[in-house]
Amino acid sequence: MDESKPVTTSTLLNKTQAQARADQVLAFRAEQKILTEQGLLPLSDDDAANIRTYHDGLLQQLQQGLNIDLNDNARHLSLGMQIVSFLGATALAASLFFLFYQYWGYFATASQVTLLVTAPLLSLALALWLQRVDGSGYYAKLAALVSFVAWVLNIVMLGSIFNITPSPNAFAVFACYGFMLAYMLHVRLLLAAAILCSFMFIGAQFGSWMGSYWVYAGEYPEHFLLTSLLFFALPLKLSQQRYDGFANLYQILSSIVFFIAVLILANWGRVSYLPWSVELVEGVYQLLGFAASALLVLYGIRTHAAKLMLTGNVFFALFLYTKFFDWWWDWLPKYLFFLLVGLTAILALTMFNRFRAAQHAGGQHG
Amino acid sequence: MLLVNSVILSKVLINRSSTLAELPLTERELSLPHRYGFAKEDSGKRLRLQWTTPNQQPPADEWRYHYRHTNRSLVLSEQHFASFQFRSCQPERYRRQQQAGWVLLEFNGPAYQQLLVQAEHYYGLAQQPQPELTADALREKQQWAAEQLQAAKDSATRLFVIDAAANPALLQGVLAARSATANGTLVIVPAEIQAGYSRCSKTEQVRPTEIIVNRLAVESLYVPKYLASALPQRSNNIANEAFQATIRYGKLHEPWISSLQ
Repeated sequence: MDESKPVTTSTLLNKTQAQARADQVLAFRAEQKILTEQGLLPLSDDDAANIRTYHDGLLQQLQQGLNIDLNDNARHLSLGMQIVSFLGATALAASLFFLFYQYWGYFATASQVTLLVTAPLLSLALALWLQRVDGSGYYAKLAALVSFVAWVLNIVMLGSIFNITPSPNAFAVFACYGFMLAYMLHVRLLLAAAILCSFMFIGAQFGSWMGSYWVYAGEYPEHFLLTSLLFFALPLKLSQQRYDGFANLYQILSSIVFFIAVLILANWGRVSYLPWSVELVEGVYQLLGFAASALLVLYGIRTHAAKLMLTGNVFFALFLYTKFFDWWWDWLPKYLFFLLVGLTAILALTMFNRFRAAQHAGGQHG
Repeated sequence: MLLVNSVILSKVLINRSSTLAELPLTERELSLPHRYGFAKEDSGKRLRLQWTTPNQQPPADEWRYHYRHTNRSLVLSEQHFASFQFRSCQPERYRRQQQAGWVLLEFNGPAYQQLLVQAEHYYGLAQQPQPELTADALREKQQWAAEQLQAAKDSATRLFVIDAAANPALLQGVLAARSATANGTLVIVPAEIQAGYSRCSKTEQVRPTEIIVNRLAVESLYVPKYLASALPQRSNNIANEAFQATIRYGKLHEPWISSLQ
């Protein structure tokens, strides 16, 4: 058996795909053992050894190249490390922020500027060095998050020291650096920060074009609708195959922003730009909310994106229950109101069960 | 990163390369921000500009109750009001309509003189016999009028926002005309504006061109380390300690503190 094949395979996979491949191998080994014991899979010693050698090589390459977990204990530890890494990054970022605030008044302006300009550069250099020396990538990601916070501090504090008129362009600058760090070091948290900064910047620009002060862009949710659609479509046009979880993050985050905006407009049409009556605006956004969340569920099923499907489900339920509240909260006795809510949940459960059964049937035929 | 920092620092240099106006402000126009919450962790010192707008209403007994509202409102000419292009009033629509705009700041000029005249006039009226008031009510009114006059002379801010427009070019003409005929220092600065509170109300419009100046774009000024020692250590001492700060506005209408005594 040719042992060079796994090398070419593993270099094309991202971490999630590599983990799935390793899980598949481990499941195969477990099943093979049972089948062999029951005499259903008679393999010669040579064939069994070849398969084992091939899989060992594959697992080793995946483990070394993409730092995947080869058993449940390692997987639990990895999850723990991710949580600790996130908490550590947040704490370190807050520490840097407060450290600067605590002592910046004791520095002359030239020293302040020097510190502010060099902090993100030094932390970026540290992150790149850690990426080379640490295979797990956790420490490099921590340093990248610190570098992002140092950059935010850099811009905010320069504005503060020199009394510069606040501008939404700061968010564009934060977003650019966030995207750069996220793609260089594969940090999903920084990608989320960069996406949110982009929403702020584009929303503020829309706000300015529509004649309002940029700080209050968030008061008009329509400023964020187009941007969220663009971010949703981005991974469909630009492949994120090499970046583990990035495509999901783009689509989930943009969906959440889109549905929150629509949910606000569906219940408070006064903040819309549409030149219609408030009732009509609210009705249109309610319909849009139902239709879009149902479509997202279908899209999630079709693309096997469980988290997108969950997002669609959650917002469909939110749209439904806010309508129930509007219609029946004052009109019905509370026991009947909650009974209706419970019955709709059971109805949804039944529908999902049927859908699941249909999926199973489809899977068996396939 | 270096490019962005270079752009920011270049803008600072361009701004400070020439001075549009120099304002010798005192503790009357500058206050230390309150130090609560995370501000306690901040070792940097800042001063906040205290400004007001000319009072549209003649002084009256209810003046004290209107003060908070009136010190941010301003009635504009139709041309200047129209420059903001506030959206038309639609029933049941959200209408805060904040906008970026420009205001004309006047320090120690006719607007402040008008405040003094108003306070003196009200004080003079309060000294006259008023049979409709009881002795206690008259004494209270006289005391309040005296406090107002004292405040106008000694502690009230002399920094007034006297005009506003969406475009600074519209204010240049006003600035030139006012500079030629009156004392006081004038400067045009960016600010956040919104339409008057009653613009879209159903009741008859008394002041259809009224706006509210929510805040100046830069109200909080950083005090560099070499000047910070001249400030009192705690904000509640600042009212008792006299000091003077020279505030300069540069080419890009952004301020900085150039001296503090």
